[in-house]
Amino acid sequence: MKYAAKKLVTMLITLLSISFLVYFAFDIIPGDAALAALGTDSTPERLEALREQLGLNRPFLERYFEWLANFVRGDFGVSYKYKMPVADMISSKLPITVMMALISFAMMVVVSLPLGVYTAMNSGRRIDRLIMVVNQIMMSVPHFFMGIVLTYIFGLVLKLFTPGGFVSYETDFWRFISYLIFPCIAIALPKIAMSVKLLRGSCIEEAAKDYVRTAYSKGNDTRGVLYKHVLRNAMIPVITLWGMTLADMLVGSIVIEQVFNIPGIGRILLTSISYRDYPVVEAVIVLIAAVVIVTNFCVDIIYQIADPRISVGGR
Amino acid sequence: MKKWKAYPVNFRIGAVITGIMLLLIVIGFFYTPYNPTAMDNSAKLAAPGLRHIMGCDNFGRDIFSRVLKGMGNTFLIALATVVIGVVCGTVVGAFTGYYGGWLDEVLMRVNDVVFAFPSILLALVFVSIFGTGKYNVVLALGIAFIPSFARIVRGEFIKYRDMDYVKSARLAGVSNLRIIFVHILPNTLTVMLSSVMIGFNNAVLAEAGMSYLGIGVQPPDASLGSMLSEAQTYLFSAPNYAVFPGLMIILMVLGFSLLADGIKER
Amino acid sequence: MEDLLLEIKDLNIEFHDHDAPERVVSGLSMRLNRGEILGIVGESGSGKSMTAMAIAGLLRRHDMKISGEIYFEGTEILHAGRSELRRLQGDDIGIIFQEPMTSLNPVKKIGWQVEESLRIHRPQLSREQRYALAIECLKSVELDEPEVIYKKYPHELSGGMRQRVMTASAMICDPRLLIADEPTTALDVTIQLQIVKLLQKLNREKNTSILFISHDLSLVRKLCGRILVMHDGRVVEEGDSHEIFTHPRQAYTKELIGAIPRMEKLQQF
Repeated sequence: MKYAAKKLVTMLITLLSISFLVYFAFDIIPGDAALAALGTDSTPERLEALREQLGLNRPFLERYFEWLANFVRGDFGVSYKYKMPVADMISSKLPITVMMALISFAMMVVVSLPLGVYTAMNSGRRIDRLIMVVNQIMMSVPHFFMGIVLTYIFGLVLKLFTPGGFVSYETDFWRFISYLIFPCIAIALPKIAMSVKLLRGSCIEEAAKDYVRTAYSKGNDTRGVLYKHVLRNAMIPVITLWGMTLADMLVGSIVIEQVFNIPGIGRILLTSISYRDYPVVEAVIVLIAAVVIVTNFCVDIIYQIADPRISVGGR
Repeated sequence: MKKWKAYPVNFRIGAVITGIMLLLIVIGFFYTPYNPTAMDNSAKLAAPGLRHIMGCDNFGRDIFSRVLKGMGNTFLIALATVVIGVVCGTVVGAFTGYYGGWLDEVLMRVNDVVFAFPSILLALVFVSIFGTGKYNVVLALGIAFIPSFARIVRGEFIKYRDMDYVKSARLAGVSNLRIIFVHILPNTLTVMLSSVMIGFNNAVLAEAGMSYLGIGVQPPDASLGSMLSEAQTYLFSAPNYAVFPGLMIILMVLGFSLLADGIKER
Repeated sequence: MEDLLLEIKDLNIEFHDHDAPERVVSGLSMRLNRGEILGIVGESGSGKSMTAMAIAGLLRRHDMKISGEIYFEGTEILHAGRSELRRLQGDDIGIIFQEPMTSLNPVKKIGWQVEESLRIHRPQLSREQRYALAIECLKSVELDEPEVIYKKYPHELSGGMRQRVMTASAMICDPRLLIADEPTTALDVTIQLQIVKLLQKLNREKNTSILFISHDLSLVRKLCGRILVMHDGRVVEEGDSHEIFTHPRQAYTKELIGAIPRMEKLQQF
């Protein structure tokens, strides 16, 4: 419990630091809400008046804490370009990106777990070597290029989906999911390869340890040794990788959304960057970073459950 | 020098691929068959052939020449990124690991904060503040890579700082700086080497992603990532436009990761 | 009156994982009676551990050549099928290994690991019955507060405690044969004696035959009635432990005895 508390405090400090740094970074760049509202051809007096009215002349820390308080309550400010609350812009897009990350993650777990164990059990055989060669190549393919290849093969040649097409989850949930399948495969494939390689290596390493011999000496069969002993231990490093991967997938979907023309959070972020629509950029970045940090926290907790040797003193 | 055959197969394949890639990159610095930015209206989206071995893009530019230039750009950006990450990471890791105490505590907290921030996201923050361009991407990715190197170096220094030979050096009056850089640092190089190579691969992939999004190398300068982005529009009529730049990214990364694996195995 | 439990006839084990085949056990024959404690001594590499693994059915057969016969209660087990072996392992034959630090699964609780053989060989037992047996077994290996130990993880225990846990999990199904493969080597001298006394007690109370394998002659002398001295995969001397100590016939045995520190030779217990 002490471990969890310590991790929780660390997480909160990290969240606070990152929100502070991002707010600070966007505060020092020229251009603010007043300038955005009135345009560059406005008079300095009118700008100054609006700044006073909007509270932009108050001390930095005061503005930061107000922004933070609003952010926590779900008020992310107002977009310069669209003059609408950022929260409204994001709320309908967030489920798309989160859904993509979750589907990709599920794909990775479902495929890499059996494949990693299978290759470990057959290590050195021809099938293992074949899978490992394919694996090594998959690890080197950038996910957006994978996306392009999938678009070509399954979209243009086999015509299994319309490239660039998309259906909102509000219109038809299952068609929405079907349009996410290929983007998710593109995100998942390189991660599957990484996790198969790690799990295979980890299983082989664990299988050589003394406690495995003990398990056999009690009359366990190979399956029993594998599922009750080896896998539990072999999963420990894999859990760390998966935790990092979930965060990676969320960020990776920014790029994949461009490949498959999906209107998710990544799209909003990129267009907002090109329009210099800072409130939106700020909100999306802090939001994604927050999700990543909270994910890392959860992984730390799961990690501790998986490995009882981790304690407050350790690591 | 060990005999070539004595190295693992992975390592040898990786060495061959990396060798070819480096050769192409070096050639690309000095010579390209065509001017990579020269447009030729008559050769728009030309198929691969004897005149243009990889074909031409939508502006009639020779894809092979652009691939050579793009590889060079990607390579230099990844290199610069890794250099920033390794140099800063080594300094941070060495001092925090060697001295420990409050300095360690503070810097490691900062480290955790940067580490929690995904590298692409950091690059996007940089780009939205300072504008697009390869130097901003290099800086952002370089900073994003510091924490992972710092952690590795710190771990090594913690391992070495209490060893007897370090203690006796201290007793003999060797200065701390000399102990750090002369007595300990060389011992961490083997561990560093494979993480540097993995870091290089991550940098290549990240750069390609950035340029694909249009925030890295700016046109008309060539980059493997931005070529892929352009190629996507003509995917149906000219798949070769996408295939070659993509293949080159894969080969660069594959060669290096096989090399890194081979080094770890030994 | 002899009551034979285990008999080995002409056991040969040859490794084939390197270029040149390496013979680790050659022509070993031995007999172990019910309720007897037999010691096998020899330096590392003498083949004593390989012999133990062969009896316990834990040899990785694919990279070695094995010949000979091992009879456990009259049944040949050296060439028996895997499933037949599994029926004996943990039930009729228990084994304690040298490394108490690594021989327990680090992510499973002690109780779970002690009960494991019960779950495999006595599936009819209820959870409560298993718990009661495990606690009783932890008590019999002289662990204080067995209920607390039951819920701990291996890394929370000392080396001596872990070896007691190993002993408990090997003894939980009341095996007829307990193989102790250098069970004390990794432990402090005082803890070594405690483990030896514990094995003696288990042997007395449950009439379990024990095959005690060690390179430490003084420990073997304290525990075993009969001793087998191994060297280079062969049995060089066999006999009553007192006899071997006072009148060693072979030069190698004399060397082994000579290697015991004088203090320990004087020590009586």
